[in-house]
Amino acid sequence: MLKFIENLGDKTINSLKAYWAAVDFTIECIIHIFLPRSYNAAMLMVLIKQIYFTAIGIIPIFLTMSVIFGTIIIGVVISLATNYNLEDKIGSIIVTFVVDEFAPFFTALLISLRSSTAVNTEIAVMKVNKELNTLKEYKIDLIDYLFVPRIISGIVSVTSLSLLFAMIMLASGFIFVFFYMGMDLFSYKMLLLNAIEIKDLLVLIFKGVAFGFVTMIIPIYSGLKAFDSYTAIPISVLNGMVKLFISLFVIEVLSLLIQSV
Amino acid sequence: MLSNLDMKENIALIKEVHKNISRDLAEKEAIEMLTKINLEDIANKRQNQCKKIEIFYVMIIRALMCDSNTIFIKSPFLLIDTLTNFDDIAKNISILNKHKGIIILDTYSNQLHYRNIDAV
Repeated sequence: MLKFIENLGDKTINSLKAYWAAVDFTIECIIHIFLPRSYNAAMLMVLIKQIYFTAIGIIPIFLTMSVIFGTIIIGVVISLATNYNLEDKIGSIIVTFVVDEFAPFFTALLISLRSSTAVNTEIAVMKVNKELNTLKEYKIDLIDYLFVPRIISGIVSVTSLSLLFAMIMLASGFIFVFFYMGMDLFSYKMLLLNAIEIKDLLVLIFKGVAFGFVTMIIPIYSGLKAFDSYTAIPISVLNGMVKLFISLFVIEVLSLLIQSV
Repeated sequence: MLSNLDMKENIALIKEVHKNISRDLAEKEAIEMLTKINLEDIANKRQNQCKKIEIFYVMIIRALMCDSNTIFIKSPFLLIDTLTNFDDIAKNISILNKHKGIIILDTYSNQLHYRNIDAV
């Protein structure tokens, strides 16, 4: 019995230490984002490359998916609203669903699948190949050079792509309302404009920033925790992705709770 | 050596970070250094496309870009397993470096390889 309590206590202390180390790392990264000395020529070049790979490279598939989802999902939402006699609320239902919920969450999922896995692998490979040690030997701050550009690119990419996704989804929703309801473009435009509020845009931006931050910080931290062996790389990516997806859902639930208060 | 950067970027990185000079200027300086020892053709190559001796020279140039006045080279014959003669390396180092002190650390068993070198 005593042994069991000892083991339980040991595991609790180790878990708390691990959580504290992660929180400490996160705080340190946030501080570095606001330090002017973090921004040198090398860091800015990494930032530009990261934004290109994260936000620009994904655009073709992103546009295709937003048009497909826009038409189908808005169609489903309108059908349901019509079935439940909520025609007068269609505008606010579409805006709340697309702008507040679907666009930022779906964008974060896509970026996680495409870029977070890449970042996690890249950092883990650098750790295993001792490239991180090389940077330390040359007194190059890992947070400034490697982590801050990736975190900023995550925030910029998820926020801007969420806005783009929401706009395209709303625009492509017109295809459905035109054929299904015979609604003209002006009426559809007014329906959305009357429904959208500043609050919706703030929610989208806040969620974009939160999602963008976790889509990068968790893979980076997971990559850093990889053991010095090539077999540790897939394990690191696996752990990082599980933690990331849990975090995305936690943020989504928290935002729903905050909005419902 | 950073595997996601090419050779000139690896060299330029030091000055970009510590001197905050522009990427173009730092890379120009890196290519000039590579040209001095006829290695300009590896400027755009990555680590896996270069020979060990070429990577060794890039590591030396990168070290020369630092503020430190002394550079230590530890066991070059272990770093470059095909190396049999240090004379060419010593000659190229003297072309690259005029001001910094370079200290080579090696075992007695390799002493003969350095017999033609007065001072590097």
